[in-house]
Amino acid sequence: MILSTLDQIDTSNIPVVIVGSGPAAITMALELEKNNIESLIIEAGEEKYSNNSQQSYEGEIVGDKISALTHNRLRQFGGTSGHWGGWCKPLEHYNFTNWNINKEDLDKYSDKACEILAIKNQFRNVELNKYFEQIEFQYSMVRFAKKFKNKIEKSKYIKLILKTQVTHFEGNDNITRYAICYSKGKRYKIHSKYFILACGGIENSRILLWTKEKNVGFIDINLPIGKYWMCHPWMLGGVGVLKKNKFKKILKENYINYEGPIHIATTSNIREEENILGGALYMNAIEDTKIHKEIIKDFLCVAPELGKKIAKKIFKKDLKCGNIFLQTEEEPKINNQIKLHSNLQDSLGVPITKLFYFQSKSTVKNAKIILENFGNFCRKTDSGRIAIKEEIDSLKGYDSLGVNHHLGGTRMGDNSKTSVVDKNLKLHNNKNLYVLGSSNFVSGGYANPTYTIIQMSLRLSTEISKKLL
Amino acid sequence: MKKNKKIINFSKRKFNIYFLLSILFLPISKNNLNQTDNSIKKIKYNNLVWQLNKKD
Repeated sequence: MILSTLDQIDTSNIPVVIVGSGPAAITMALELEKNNIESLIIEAGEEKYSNNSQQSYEGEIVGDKISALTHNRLRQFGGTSGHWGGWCKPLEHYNFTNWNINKEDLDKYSDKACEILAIKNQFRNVELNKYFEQIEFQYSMVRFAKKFKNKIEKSKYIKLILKTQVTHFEGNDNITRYAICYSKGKRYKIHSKYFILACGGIENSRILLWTKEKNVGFIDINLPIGKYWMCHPWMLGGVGVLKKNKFKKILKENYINYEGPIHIATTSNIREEENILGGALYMNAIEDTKIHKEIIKDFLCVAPELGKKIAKKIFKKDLKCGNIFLQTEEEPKINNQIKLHSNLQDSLGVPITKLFYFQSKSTVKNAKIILENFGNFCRKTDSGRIAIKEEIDSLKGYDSLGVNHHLGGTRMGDNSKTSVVDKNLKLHNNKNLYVLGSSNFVSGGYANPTYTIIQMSLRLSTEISKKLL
Repeated sequence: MKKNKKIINFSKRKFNIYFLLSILFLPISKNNLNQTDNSIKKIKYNNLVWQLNKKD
């Protein structure tokens, strides 16, 4: 049911209040519905985002340049799934080293996650050599609002209210009593048994920080809320000329036959032996003839004989020629953090976000080692040649192509001094406030986060259902 | 004693043959090594550092 006003229903009998209406929130509500558990989804945006609604996402960024906070998330029903690329892949085993859950805890929910995202449950990793593997992503076309609007409208168990902003929570004795929100100019105190904060990798921290300020003593002051914020550094690593047939020969029947793109990731061996974090290399599916010409021109200058042989093959499907993009894991640092702005507030008086972000020197070092080792693999197997961007090769830095994934800020863990939520995503020292989303990530891996977020939502809905049934 | 002498002589001959053959084939084996050399050659060009084999 989609509500036009909160006065339409008696909210006090709804056992679960979910703040946010992105993939995490909708997945959660749909799973609770299967167990006949009622939930109220509170979304600050409207059905479609507008310039006005996006302005509420404005924030100040201190440090290195990243995409504006208004650009890569959508304040609307369905959240950022309204414009996401749909790239899906679970995290690897080794990504869970510092988590207090393991890959199996989430992989239990793979079938359901794939059903929701309408993708095949197939994410192959096939070893190219000791250091690299060809990997398989699945691409989801699901826009959560579009796909689930009818279902929510007709649902007896899910109530959705739009244009209603939760500013903070109130409570005492470690129990969260109310979500404080504003709808159509009116203030509401929504009571419930369980509160799920699922507003994304920035807002989750912001709402908790404001709750801490508004209710002194209610939230443990030692919790590192907003800290250990991370992203996926996304950069142009260089260019390459790869012979797909050589890759096919190396991998034989295991070759992942993508139509266009080539996706190569690091294995745990290179992480351990070179003491680096992982990353994934990507070459576009769509061939760009302008880039082809530039690369071949350069290649003819640096290696004339080999260049001539390659130039003859340029229009053959076997040759992959283009930019090499790199998405890497980033080290979690306590000083990369979300704070509340001391001077600027939104229209409801909540301080806007002040994000402190400094690129890590280890990121460029990781990128160089990954690219060099991939270059070595290509040379030694004669499966191609690559060139590394000079600023990466000389460890000067890298040009960020944008930051689309916001990770950390309410990280999971057992220790309340170094983490914000426990393994069941419940806020430390609180009995009924849960935080859900990429803000819980302890490390980011190289894979896009939404698939893991969906797995986490399914796991949390099982946990909440157990408590209510 | 005779037997022992023979053995010693044979072993010396064997060594000599091996030694001569090694000298003879040393330049050839060196050439072969060069042909399969895939040690790295880096060339900077247009803000890119190409990772090439020496023979490229």
